Amino acid sequence: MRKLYVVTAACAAVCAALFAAGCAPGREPSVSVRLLRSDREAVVVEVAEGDEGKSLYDALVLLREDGALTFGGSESEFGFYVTSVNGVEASESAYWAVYTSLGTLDGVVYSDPSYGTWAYEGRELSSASYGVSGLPLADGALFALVYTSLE
Amino acid sequence: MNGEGGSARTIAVCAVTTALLLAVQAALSMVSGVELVTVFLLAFCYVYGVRCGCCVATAFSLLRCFLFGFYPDVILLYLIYYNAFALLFGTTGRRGWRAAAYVSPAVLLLLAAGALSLALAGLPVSPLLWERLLVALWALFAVLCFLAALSVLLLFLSGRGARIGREAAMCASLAAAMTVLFTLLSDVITPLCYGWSADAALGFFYTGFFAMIPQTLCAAVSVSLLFYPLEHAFSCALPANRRKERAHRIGADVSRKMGRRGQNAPSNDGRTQKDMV
Repeated sequence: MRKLYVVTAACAAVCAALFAAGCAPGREPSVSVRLLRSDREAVVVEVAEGDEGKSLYDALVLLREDGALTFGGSESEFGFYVTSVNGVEASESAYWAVYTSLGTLDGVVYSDPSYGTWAYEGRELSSASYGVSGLPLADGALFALVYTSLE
Repeated sequence: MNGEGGSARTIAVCAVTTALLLAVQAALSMVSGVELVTVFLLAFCYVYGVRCGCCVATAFSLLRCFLFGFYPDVILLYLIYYNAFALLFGTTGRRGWRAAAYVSPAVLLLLAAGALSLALAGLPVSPLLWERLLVALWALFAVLCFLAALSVLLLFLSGRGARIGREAAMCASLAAAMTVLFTLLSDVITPLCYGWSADAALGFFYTGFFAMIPQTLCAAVSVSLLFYPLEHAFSCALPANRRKERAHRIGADVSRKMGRRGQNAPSNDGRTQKDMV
């Protein structure tokens, strides 16, 4: 009888642990992103395993929780507007531009080369039509936050 | 300038209004989707006419660059839009435009139909941001329908309150239409200035809705609520002869609506204005 209690308690503990793990906030096992570069001039993120229901903002939050980078900003009509990355603040003469390899997906224009381009290790990224909240984490997509001078 | 009241006073009022517009835009630039420049400039143009309105619009369009930066496309957009805005509301305020009171429900219903069709049909924008745009579209639809119903109701009422309501509804409908026009103008000027491709211009057009919808909603609501107090405040700064002239015109307008029971006969309207000049 005692064994039955022990087995029941062990099963309950395992179920509770699995439930707690499943409910852990901010962790989405379906999304996997790789941080390719993170310094005071640029941050480059590659989506290894995507989820188009999640945004680049969600990926940046995950990376910030892991201590891989820091960023800040404010909400706007277009979602979250990034104003500082890795301690570098945007100013009147420079801002944090968002570039992506995502072009047109399902009829939505996420970026276009005529907005501007930025190259990373032989891959050309185009300036994004949306902020970090509007860019979906599509499989294999590359995103970059680049400190850009207004000239 | 003399024709529109004492020149020194007029220049001073234009300067103060320009400073006020800059302060309002700078103060609210941190709050997304909220802008009160439309209602302030509208009330000013309505009271002071086209010439003063265009002076303030041009000064504001150029001076705001010291706060927000010098971008050729933005300067061009502001110069064209705000001068057209001053032309429209300066003329509307000066002429009274009784016909516009009948046009405003139609304009409001047209805009409401546009908001409804966008909400139902959807737009090729990022699905991650569609929810927030949908909420704004339904809110805009509700506000425009309410204003349209109110402006129709006010057409059948008489008296000073109804006149103020009709003017506010008329200005709110035109302001909402002008705000839509502002974004559409930007959709043409910006791609042309930067030489964007057709796809890039199309993407820019669709993302423009994220700014256009909250701003149109803000323009409709702010003009409905603030038009009368601001018009009254600007009227107080008019020279005495212009104040009198304006009071005569408003009185004549009310008496005409009340079936000529008021003090001013319609035939005195033009003569009174000529006498004042």
